Amino acid sequence: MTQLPDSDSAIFQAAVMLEPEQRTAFLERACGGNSRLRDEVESLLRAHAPNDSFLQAPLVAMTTAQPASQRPGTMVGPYKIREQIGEGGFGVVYVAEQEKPVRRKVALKVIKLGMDTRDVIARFEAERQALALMDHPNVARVLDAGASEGGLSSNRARHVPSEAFLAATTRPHRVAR
Amino acid sequence: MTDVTQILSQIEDGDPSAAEQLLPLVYDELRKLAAAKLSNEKPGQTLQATALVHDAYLRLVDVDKAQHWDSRGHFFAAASEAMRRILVEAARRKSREKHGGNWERVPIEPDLLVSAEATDPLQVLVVNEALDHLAQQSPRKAELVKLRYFLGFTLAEAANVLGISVATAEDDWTYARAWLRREWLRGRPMGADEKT
Repeated sequence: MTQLPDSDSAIFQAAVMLEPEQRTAFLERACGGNSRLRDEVESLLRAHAPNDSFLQAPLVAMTTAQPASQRPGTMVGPYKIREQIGEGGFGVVYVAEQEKPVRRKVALKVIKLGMDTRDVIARFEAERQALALMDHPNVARVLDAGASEGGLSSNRARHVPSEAFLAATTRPHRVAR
Repeated sequence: MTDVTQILSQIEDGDPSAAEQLLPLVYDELRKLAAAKLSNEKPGQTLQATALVHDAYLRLVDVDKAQHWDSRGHFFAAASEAMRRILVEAARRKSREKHGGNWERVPIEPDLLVSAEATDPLQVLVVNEALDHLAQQSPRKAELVKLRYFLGFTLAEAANVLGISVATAEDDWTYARAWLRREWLRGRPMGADEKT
């Protein structure tokens, strides 16, 4: 017999080809006294289910009823969206209205869905801090930053993100001096 | 507009920041194409990710310029990640609705996509997380899963993109599928295993 496979994936591959009743003896030889390796391969063999539908079909996307894109009137946190004024790789900028505690127009930058990775959130936070440090009539002033309510749907999906947003004064020249 | 062909050439030259620039461009294009394709369709129409991604490739990449190097490989790697995010986001949304998330979700992006009708959205989320762990251990196997599960590539197409033989891809797939299924079964509530 040729050399025995030694990685968990190689042992698994070889074991899958065997009849179930031959597997125990094979694992005995291939894993030797390495019980960790053997546990790993055995747990993979238990999960191996060629006839199960798991991952067999690719995900497909489907339409939902109505595109809800940038609907004017949508609330993000305390802000009501008016219109989109800009778009970058990771975020979209809207003109929005704040009603309480004061009524005013703001520029609202919202991270795009699916782009809310830790890196992007960190960059967003850095931008917020950089803007907050600046106090100049030609630079938009940060008013608020936060996350709209995303909520947790179950303990399994613990990373359900909320929409991070950044609100700033609209055009720099509108900043009261 | 940033030139995707140029970014692909930077990736080819080993510029690590280039791949990061590519992802949002491909993501936007895929969403845009999906929106255009679906805007005239009735609710419930399905969308073939494979066709979408090939369209995006032809629209974004100067094929004549890019033919000398592995532009397709780099592009599809970014596309599978972009599609993964789109589909996982759709699954999150769906699972939130299903499990009585009582928060009001703010639909900023087009509400176009939900995951496959037959698939439990929770399964999509668990696979998505487990895939990151698999990628740490076996990056190639995780790439293969992304190409097949999120882009709908056949085994042969995925093998071609990854530059491996179909036989190797088949072995990788068998292993990765068992690995991910194990994670999925582990995370399920007690007593639910038998039903599979």
